[in-house]
Amino acid sequence: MSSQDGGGGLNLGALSPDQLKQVADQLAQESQRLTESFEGLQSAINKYNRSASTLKKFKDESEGKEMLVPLTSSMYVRGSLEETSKILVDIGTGYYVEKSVEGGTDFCERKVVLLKEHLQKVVDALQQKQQQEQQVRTALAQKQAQAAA
Amino acid sequence: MEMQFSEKVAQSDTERQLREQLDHAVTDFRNLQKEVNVNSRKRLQATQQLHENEMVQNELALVDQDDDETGVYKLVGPCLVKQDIAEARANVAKRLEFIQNEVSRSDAAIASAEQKMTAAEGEITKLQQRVAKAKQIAAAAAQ
Repeated sequence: MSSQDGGGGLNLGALSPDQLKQVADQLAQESQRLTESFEGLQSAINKYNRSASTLKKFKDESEGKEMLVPLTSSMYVRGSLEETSKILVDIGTGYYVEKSVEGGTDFCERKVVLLKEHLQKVVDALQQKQQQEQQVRTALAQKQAQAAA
Repeated sequence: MEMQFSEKVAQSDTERQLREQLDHAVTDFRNLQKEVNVNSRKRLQATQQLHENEMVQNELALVDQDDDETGVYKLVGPCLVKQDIAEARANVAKRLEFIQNEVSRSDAAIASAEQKMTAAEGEITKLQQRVAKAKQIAAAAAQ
């Protein structure tokens, strides 16, 4: 009768309620995974944005400025900014590269652009999966209603 | 009379043998399925590493454009150790090659296991048919 599409090209009408439930659960699991990767990407974007905004503030600081350096989360020692023209950036797999402040900002912005592209893909895929799951659940409810009638 | 009896025994024997064969085939199939799962997981992990290393390679390729004095460091335990840029690039390239090999190895393992699975599937269907047939014959003989 209804919804031939959705469910990855499966003919939903032809499936038994048990099979429909299985497909729906599988789609829910995939949605769950996508949500996790969405959250991971979001937190990575926040991290790079924070780094970029920190660099903006850092740029205005003069050399020799007094600061407190954390030894642990609750202990600090006095220090002073010695070099403000160069920073060290983690580029992954244990490698760090020296960069100028502009270079570091550029790095963060590039990463954010890349991650946002990826995030969009995940969002699209997630919406698709959720729609499919909805279709399958509707088909399942119809089947159950039919069986009860 | 005696002849019939021994025939019946032979039939139930073959049915049992067929069932055993079927069980074996099903176990084989499940093992192959496990193999595919394990290799898929390995492949996923390797591709993730591949992406990360590719990103590092891109960043290292960008270094030259800044200036030659740019320091590259590698985290060894808690320490940052200064690296030669050419050496760092060679290391990452080597690692990429290694990971790519790992990906293709997993691909090959998955392909071969899947091929064997198709064969095992055919075997299972055939055995199921033979068991059903043996049952029919046994039922007919019992009547």
